[in-house]
Amino acid sequence: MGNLKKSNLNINNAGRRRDKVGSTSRHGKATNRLLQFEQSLDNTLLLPRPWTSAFWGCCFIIYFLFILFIVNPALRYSTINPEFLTTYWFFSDFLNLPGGILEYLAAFLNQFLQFQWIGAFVITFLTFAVCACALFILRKFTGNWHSFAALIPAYFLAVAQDSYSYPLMITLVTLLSALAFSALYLSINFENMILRIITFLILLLILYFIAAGNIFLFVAICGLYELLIKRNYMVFTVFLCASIIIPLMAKEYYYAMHIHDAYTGLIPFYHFERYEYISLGLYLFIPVFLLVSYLLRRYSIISTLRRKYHLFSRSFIKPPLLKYYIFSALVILLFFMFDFQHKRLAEVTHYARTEQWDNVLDSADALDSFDPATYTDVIHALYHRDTLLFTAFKYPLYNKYQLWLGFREGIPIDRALKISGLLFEMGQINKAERMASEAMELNGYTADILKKLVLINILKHEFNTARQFMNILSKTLFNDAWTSEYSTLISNNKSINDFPELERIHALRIKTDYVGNYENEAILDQCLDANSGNKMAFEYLILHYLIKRDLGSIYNHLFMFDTLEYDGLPAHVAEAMLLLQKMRDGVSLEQYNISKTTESRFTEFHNKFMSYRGDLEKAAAGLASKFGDTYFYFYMFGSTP
Amino acid sequence: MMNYLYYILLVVTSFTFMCIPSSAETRNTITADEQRIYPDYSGITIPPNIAPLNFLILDSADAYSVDISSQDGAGIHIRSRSPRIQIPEDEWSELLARNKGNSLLIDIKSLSTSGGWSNYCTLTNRIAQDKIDDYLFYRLLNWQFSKYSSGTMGIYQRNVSSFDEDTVLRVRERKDAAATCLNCHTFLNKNTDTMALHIRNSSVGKPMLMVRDGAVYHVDQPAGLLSWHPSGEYLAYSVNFFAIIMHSVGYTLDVFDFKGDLKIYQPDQNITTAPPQLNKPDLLETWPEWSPDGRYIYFCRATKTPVEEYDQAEYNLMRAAFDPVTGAFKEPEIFFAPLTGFSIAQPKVSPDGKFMVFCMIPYGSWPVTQPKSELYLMNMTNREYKPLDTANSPHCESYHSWSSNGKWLVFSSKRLDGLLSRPFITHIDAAGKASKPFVIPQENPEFYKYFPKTYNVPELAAEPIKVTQQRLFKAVFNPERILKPRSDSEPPSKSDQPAGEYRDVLPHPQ
Repeated sequence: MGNLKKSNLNINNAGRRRDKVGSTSRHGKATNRLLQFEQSLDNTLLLPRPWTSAFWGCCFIIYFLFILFIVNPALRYSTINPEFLTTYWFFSDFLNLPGGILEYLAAFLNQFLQFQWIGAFVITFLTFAVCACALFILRKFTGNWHSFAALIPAYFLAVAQDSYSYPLMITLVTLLSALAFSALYLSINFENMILRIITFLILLLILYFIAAGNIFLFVAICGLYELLIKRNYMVFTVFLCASIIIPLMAKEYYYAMHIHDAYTGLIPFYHFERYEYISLGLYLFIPVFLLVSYLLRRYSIISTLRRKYHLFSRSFIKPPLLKYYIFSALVILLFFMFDFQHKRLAEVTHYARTEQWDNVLDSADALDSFDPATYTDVIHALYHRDTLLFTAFKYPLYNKYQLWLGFREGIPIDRALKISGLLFEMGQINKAERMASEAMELNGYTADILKKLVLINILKHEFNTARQFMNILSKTLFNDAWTSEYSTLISNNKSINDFPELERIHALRIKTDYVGNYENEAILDQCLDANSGNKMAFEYLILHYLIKRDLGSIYNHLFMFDTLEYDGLPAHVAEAMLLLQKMRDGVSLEQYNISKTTESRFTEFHNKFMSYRGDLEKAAAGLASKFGDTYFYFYMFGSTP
Repeated sequence: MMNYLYYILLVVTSFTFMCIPSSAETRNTITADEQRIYPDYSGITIPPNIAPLNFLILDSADAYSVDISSQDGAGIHIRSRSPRIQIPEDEWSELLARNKGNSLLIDIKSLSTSGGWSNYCTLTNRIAQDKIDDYLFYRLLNWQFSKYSSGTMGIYQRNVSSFDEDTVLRVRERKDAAATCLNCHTFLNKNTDTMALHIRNSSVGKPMLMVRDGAVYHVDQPAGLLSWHPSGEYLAYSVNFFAIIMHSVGYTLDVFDFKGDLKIYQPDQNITTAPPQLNKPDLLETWPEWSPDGRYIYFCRATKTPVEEYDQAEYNLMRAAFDPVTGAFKEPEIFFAPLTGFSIAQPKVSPDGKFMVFCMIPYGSWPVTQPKSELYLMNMTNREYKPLDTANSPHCESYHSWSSNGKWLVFSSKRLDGLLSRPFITHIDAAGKASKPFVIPQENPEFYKYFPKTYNVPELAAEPIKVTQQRLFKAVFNPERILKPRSDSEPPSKSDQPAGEYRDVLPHPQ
């Protein structure tokens, strides 16, 4: 307690000295005082004052709650679906490029994101560590606003949270390593110039090996320290030269890589639109802050402005309070800036991955726009909720949309595993195997992909191959329960009949060898040929016809609604058939139970549509609110509103 | 004085108890049928310069005792609480070097929970007189179909005398949509001074890398399924238009060749020729292979079939005489026509010219996707052929490579799990008889259980590669020497595709 009081006293003294430094106009004296100030910081300011601790504590509690409840790390996990294996070769594979060690660490930490609470803790802890390092560095340079400024990286990281594909974990660990190395260099602080250079070079080499292009933050901080505090231009020059030479040498003699990868590897400054500015802010903030605060103090700019314009004279905007006003404003701004549409898209992916179909539809209902992968998930959820042919056109759809079940349209990189899942459920086991293998090549050995390959090979009765994928899966984290459950099946202690879902799919699997590559329609027909009770294939086939506006083919399949024991025609099918009846003679729908509501809606739609006298643009706008969720609307205008 | 006596008594008593378990051994003997170790290293013939055959005992016990011995020199004794048996490299190398031509006994005992050592099994192997080439080159890649991304595949070299593995070339780029495929690495006369390697990259296209006398060339010419003429003056390669065709049941992936022609590249003149003898418009030619004396080229040829009749494409083994001085070919002859329902691929002549090993498959020219692919050995003197029964398995065997002394054959086999190829070694004796093959040992005996990549195109070579990975990488993207081969034939048509260019094809008409 006594030490703490003494510490606070010293801080206050240091604060007064700092003010003096700010008010003098003689540069030499200012530098001396800066050095004295720095020494006093070394002695007294390594522990934050209680109110600073409380402030930081509040900030990180808010940050944790923000990550936990607003962001939800589990959504990030489902979006990036990261790979990690505990085998040595998986680790050694990362060492092929500089920064591999931290990439491996990030891959490991990413696995914890699947658990909402643990994920939030990991992100908050790493962010706290980044800010703590930043605080240490700022204190070495300046006493002004350091406890507040050190939180700015956390703010940038918070702003980046609404991009669920932003490389958050690698950014956190590389940023932390660069700041930690900088802090280490500043804390060692040899008086001897040669020792300082040697220390710097050793740290630079290690940091380059583990964090690649992130050395430039380290070089910037150490360089500014030498330039501004130590006033040693030669050491600064050596630092700059070393930072240019080391990546070049690494490229020429150690790593096989491009020159741009040598210098910019693992710096997330690219391809993230607004997020690249966040990354820039994240990396440049500390050096820029150090430089600007030094210049302000060096040339007494704040004091001059204060004197001249009586800034901060009114009590409620005194500098200490100003920090909290700004902080509050930033927190409020953060919530306003958070893109909830991105979150909804991530939720759709997450809930589809975890087969929470109702939640998929709830999140989709709140979406303004879909991306192609969202369509796949929403259609899948609608099928599982038995509403595919009733409400599909309530969600955005367009007539060029592909179900992507075949390979003739190409391989959708972002959806290869989702498509594999669909094909698997429909009994197209070999096609599911191909899609899962393509996904593995594109996305790595993720647990989801390995599980799919295990199940595929079980259904193919390739138990040795299934065992191989199971072995690899056993080297992932947190999949022991799944592995032990299905190991009993592979080792013949259980049969497929003990797993109802596998048994169901086993009954649906294709039995004829259709050699070649086929389009959606043919693939779905093959499923129905193998098992006419394949309801999923049937509903997807009807949806395919609806999207392609092929009403004749739907008409030809109407008998199957009876075969599959549907309770009348689903709404969209009935709507389609009413359209067909209107356009083609001889279409009889008497045997099908079409509701009066559907018929009256169609009559109303038809009358209103005719009233626009062929002006499709006006008709589309005028009918959207009342008929936007009907197939009539989609058929006439080629897309949902 | 009494204290010393107590110590002596204690030591003697301890030794007496340590020697007791012999009585328990007879009690718990396990029969030969129950022997189980992974990988299977029993009844095999091994080169005297192979790395230790580390293995896993597939039975749980409290401890294990392994004695490895031969006729000459001290044996190796290992005691382990873990079933993973890792043999000391130095002692192993010495034991093998002193016992060429002798038997190698591996005696395994286990300590059961009931107490006492029991004989688990005794493995008897043979150490051959003949060494195998020290280096094995291979490609590692995922089990994949058509997509490839950045850094997922690479060419590696393994010192088979130890567990050292180095990367020859792996292209990993940190940018979106970067993708690189490396394939068809081949050396001149098992010597790494001259090498060729085909590459496909999303930004630089499909060059061939060629190493000659320490220099690395970027040859602006797609070339696959390469084979060096023994003089090093000619490089035969194949130009194919492969397409993936998929099965709905059974094995998934199949490959069909729409267009196959053979071409010859002459590095000294930087010229590519398409000899008419090797390029018939209505026929498919592929898998060129020079005879060791350089006077013949062997290759596979089939009549073109439409894709609907993919399973009717049956390749014969052809031979064309070649004059290395003029570079002229004579009209090829059918060297071997298999029975109906079979097709030949990947002919490889032993360095002494006595034998040829090839793959026999039901149809087509792409063994690695066909489970029924088997290795056959042909006596080149009388053209008699037989399956390499001892080496073959119910799964696919393909991509074989002779050692420089012609006594060893390394090949890819999918026998361990049915999907992923692993490199196996077999000894071929003077009569052309193959020994029981064994998988290349790994430091961690369970390695293959958890390794998700497949071993492709294993090639033996006498020495390590001398060009660094950095130089090969540079030659791909920022080459100092670019060769644009002149062609004596018509310019390539749009349908000319390099080997390995998978492309999905139109569906099979119903």
